[in-house]
Amino acid sequence: MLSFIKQIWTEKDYASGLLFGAIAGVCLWIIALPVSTQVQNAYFQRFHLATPNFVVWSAQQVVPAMYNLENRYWFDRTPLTDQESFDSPIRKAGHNFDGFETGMVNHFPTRKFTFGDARSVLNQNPNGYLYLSSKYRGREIRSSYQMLPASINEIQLKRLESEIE
Amino acid sequence: MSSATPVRSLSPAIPNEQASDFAIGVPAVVKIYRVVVGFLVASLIWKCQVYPAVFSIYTEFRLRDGFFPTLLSEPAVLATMFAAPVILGVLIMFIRTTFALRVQAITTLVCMFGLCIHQGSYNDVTFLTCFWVAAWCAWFTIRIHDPEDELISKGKTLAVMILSMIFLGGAVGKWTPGYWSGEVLYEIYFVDRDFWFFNLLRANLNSEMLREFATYYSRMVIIVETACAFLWLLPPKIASGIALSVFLGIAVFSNVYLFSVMFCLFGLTIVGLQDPGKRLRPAFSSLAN
Repeated sequence: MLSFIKQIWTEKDYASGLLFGAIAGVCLWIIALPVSTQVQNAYFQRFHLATPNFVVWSAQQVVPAMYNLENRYWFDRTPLTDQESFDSPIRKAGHNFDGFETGMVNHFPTRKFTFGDARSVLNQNPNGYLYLSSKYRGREIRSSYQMLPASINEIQLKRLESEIE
Repeated sequence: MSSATPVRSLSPAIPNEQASDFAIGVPAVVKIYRVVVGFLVASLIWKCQVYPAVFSIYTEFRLRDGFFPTLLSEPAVLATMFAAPVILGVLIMFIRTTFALRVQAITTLVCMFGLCIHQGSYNDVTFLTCFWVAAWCAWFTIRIHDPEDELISKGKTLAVMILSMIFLGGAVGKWTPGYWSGEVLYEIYFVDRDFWFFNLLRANLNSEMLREFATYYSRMVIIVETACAFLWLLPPKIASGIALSVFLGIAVFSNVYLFSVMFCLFGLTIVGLQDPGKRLRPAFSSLAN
């Protein structure tokens, strides 16, 4: 590694330096995750699509984050107001959004409503509330969203709140 | 020096654009490059099990979220960014001018980044791994006129660094109680995931044993990924062999859809397995010709 760095330095190999720098920079960002609350907040916001600036969010999208954080979602047609629902470990098989359900997600819990056939399923009854939680080493972000029909075959997603604890 | 002694190590990998390439055969570096691109394209083609159907859903049902710009919510943009790298990747199997290789590499890099930030695909890690392989490809085509041994040597180092970074990203995000206890993977995979490995476990273990197995499985994943984050400390050949084994293990024992994430990384492991000064291994040279 040192000889590689020395070589690209002495040869003024800017392309190699750029790629190496990008990889090193991303690695430093990842390594900071367990120890930096700012980096943790950035990850939390990234996973909940809550980063204030889209460009900042986009820049983080090249950081590998497979199966990162402990992500859980809850869904119901009416707002969930009792703690018991949030504490329930029960998962509903099928994940058809036809009633209360909860489950864990590998990464980007917002994919429950943005990815795949979710929108076609949700469109059958585009009214509901989605709650997300992502945890990491004792800290947590909670977000809630309301789904409303916007027009034919179009769903409006309204963010209600995102809070980091 | 004997007049018969080859000076391959001092000669550029590809002479600057000149007369018929057929007269000199396909340079080894182009063969290597085509293998990497071939595996990247394979990742995208593997995704064709999912995305054609998903694309039609996105076209019919729209989601307004207030976060993604309009352009990055358009299904046609997603389809273009998905298709262009596949088409260009196939084309460079037949065209090998430096300009063509660079256009293909940079277009793929831009498209993969675009898919990493599109409303319909941002969560799909396939495009993240393809992005980094495309970054390596772009670097490779920019430096393709370097001496062959030097290019392959640097290519191996950067390939292993990317592989290490991918593992690091996966590992550090799991350094949290839910993964160490096995809770997360238990819920995602062990409870009802329809896959041969988990079906076998559910058929043979009671619920208590299954939950305990999930804990050890999850800890093993964390430990292996964390260890693999240090692959860059090893000789590239050994590092690449380990990475390849781990990737295969993940896909075979977790989820075959993960092959879309892994295929492009296989290309980088093959780079890491190369010996500078020797031709591409015969088993893969047919892919490049």
